[in-house]
Amino acid sequence: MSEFITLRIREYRRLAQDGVLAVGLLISLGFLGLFVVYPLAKILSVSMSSEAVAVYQRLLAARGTWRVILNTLWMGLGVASVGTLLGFLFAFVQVKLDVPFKRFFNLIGILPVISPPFAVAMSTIVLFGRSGLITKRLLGLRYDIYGLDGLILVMAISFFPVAYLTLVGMMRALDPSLEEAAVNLGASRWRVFRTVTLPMLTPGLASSFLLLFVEAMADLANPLLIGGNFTVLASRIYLAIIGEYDLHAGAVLSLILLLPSLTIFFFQHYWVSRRSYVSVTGKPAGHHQPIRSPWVKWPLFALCLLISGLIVLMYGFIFVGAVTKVWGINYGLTLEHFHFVLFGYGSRAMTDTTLLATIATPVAGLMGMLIAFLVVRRQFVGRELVDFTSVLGLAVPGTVVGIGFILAFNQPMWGGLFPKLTGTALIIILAYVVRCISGSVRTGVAALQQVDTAMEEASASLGASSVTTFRRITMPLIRPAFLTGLIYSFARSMTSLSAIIFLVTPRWRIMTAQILNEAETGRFGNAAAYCVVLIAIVLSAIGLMYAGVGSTTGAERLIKT
Amino acid sequence: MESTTLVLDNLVKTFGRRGEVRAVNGLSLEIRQGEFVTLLGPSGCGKTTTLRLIAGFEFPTSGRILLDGKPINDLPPNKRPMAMVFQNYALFPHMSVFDNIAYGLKVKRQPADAIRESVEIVMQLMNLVGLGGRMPHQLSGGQQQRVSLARALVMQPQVLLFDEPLSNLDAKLRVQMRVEIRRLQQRLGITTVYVTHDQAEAMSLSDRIAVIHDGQIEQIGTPSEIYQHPASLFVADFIGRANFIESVVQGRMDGRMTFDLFGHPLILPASQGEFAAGEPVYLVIRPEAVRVSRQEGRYAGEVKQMVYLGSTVEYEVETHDQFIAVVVYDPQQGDIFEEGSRVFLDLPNEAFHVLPRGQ
Repeated sequence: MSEFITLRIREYRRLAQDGVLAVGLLISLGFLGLFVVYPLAKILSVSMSSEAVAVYQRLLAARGTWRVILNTLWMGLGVASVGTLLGFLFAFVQVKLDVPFKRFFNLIGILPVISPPFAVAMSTIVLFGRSGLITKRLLGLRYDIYGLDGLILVMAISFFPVAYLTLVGMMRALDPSLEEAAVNLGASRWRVFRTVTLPMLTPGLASSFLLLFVEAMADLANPLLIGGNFTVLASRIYLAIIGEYDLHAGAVLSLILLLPSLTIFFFQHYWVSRRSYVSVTGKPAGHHQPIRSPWVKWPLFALCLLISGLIVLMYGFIFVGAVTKVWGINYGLTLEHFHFVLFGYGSRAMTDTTLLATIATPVAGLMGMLIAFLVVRRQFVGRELVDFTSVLGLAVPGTVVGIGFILAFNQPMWGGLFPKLTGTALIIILAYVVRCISGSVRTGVAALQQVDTAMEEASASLGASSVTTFRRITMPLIRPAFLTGLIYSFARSMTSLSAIIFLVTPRWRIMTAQILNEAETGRFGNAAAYCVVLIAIVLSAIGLMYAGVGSTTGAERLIKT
Repeated sequence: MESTTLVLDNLVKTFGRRGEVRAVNGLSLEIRQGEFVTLLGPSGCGKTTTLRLIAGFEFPTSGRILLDGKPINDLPPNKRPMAMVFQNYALFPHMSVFDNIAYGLKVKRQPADAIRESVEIVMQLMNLVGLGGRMPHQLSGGQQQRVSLARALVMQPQVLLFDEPLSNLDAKLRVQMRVEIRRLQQRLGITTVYVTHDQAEAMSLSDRIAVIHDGQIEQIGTPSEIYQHPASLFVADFIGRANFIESVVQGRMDGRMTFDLFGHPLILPASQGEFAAGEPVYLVIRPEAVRVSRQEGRYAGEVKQMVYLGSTVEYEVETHDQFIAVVVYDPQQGDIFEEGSRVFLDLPNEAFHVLPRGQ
């Protein structure tokens, strides 16, 4: 036992010798502890306090609560299934088929990532709702899109990029010689697919399914807009806070939402994602042979095209909504909505949101990279804990983060040293960072795992300190991944609703909250204009970041010798 | 007395939460200034771990490492005056050859003209003149290897460490580089620790070889000591090839021992070792010491396998229910026996070596 302790002390002493790295460790641990662990702990303590007992009894006795919980699970299941299927379809077409428009399909697969939370929902209502362009005008149906069906449609489209990206990466990395070996042994293409390809993709499919499930459960925007009478936990929490001012109920419901989310997320993170069948034997030998059979190719291509068309329609239609007088009803052109957003009431929201997101992005990016470096490259007791905590930000639903922040920072702490944060810009920035840091850590970890440690060791053996090694060797090699992380952080911050909905005040206006406002009161035109402006801001930011951070030296291609 | 540069004192390195994996299990070694010592052993024997302990990329669970008498256990790798040449070269892909070589000097903040001079000298030494502007991916394997070595040499380190640097090169290039490395090391007189699993490399490069097995040194000595007087079964079998014939000590008298060899007595001087009568032993004889012919002899056998390799022929001859490996150099027509031939083996006394046969 004492030997264990001496070894650990020596580990920490060595880490401390690392100077700047030790400071970095302190900063990141401090941040995670204060802004991730503490708010969650607050929620736990409030929801398990004596006052909460009465709330539990009330809530769990009401049949309504159980229906809400069931609804949430059904919704999660539906979105996860449809989303994974969509992602698989697009990934399959991208990797295995030789058809036209592949680059277009790839863009469609990533498009929803940068889209604001209400865009697809609003389009869907105007297109497929009771007075929908397609349902009423074209098909003469009177279809109620509000509810579970609308939710699944909208969320599947909004979230399937997660599945798409996971599966595309996985399918590309699969060793094609395995399928070739199966064919060589006499298996038909279908049999190969069923018995070799699909089983090897199971971790990817399972991962996607679980991640989509968690995202669906956490989402607030869509249930609010298109849920109709179909209430889920996230919307119920919103009602509890905004409608009833009942913080205890909010905390209790948050706990109820948190438990399945965390369980599923960590099941995916620690169990499923570790079971990877990809490249066990090292370098994949050769190219993927595309599937040639026309009976497979063209139907899948058509399906992909159809869905892409639908998605393009939905997003394009937002633009229409932004420039027409009354979206879906009066198609007269107007610029009043844009005027509202750019110069009128909405301009403050536009500048505030962009400013806060811009501040949060590099913070999340750098801290994420620091944590990733510590977790991947250094050994110390508590490393697993740091890894776990940094990933929590992704696992915890946004509404829960919001409530946690309110509970934790509603009054000054430590005798006034730490001020009350609610109502300030800082708390919104912190919420953004907490939401984004997990993504940055993940991209950082993936990138660092690609860089051969021998290079960093070579640098050390030539006399360079950790900081110099990181600056001159590691950073240039992971720059593309770092850039991706920044873009992701910015997009996610700009389009975040559930985390900040409880934190906005008249002093600091956030675009997504304004969109909710406009959409709830039926002013779809303004909402659409907000969406268009938001997409434009995110796209320009991406362009700027590529120009600023990103010239790739081409060396990243050759990292692993 | 020569000054000792590097001392490893009972090094232990364990991995795993409860220390289940003992990669290095009590390893002690003293390396003198300017000496070329190779750590030789099969995969997983702990030689690379030992090298990484010396370099500072791993820290010992117990034991000490001393450089010029001072313990350097807790010194981080970038503060140790050692330079390492990696198996995959570890060239920085985003820097040119010149910048790669100059890297360590830049870290030391040497002035630019001093750097340029040093780099150019080393590039000349390593035959890399004119390649300064190229990027690593534009170089051949051999060139990359030389850049990796140049980058280490330019630091003028006290100890030079090699981690299986030649394993990624093709056979001919490997031999070439081997010669270059040895020549350079002797010329510059840098203390060198070299890790490999290739015994030919170890034999051709080293002043001394440390044969490592299960995290410990089984034997350390010059190449000829190790080859001709292997201290254990493992060493005998790992260096070169060997035939192990089971036998028993039949008697011991007058400075001589008698053994049973396929029913005939074999008499060897007692200097072979302290073995008591009745003790089970292995009689060890190298394949190249065995002679094969059609002439009547003591030990009859049948050729079970014949492999013609051009400069040698290798046989597996079955005799007395055992397979004896034989290697014949520069085979003439009369030396080549087809599979199935009946032959006679000549096993000269002087070629035998005795090792204990444990329970």
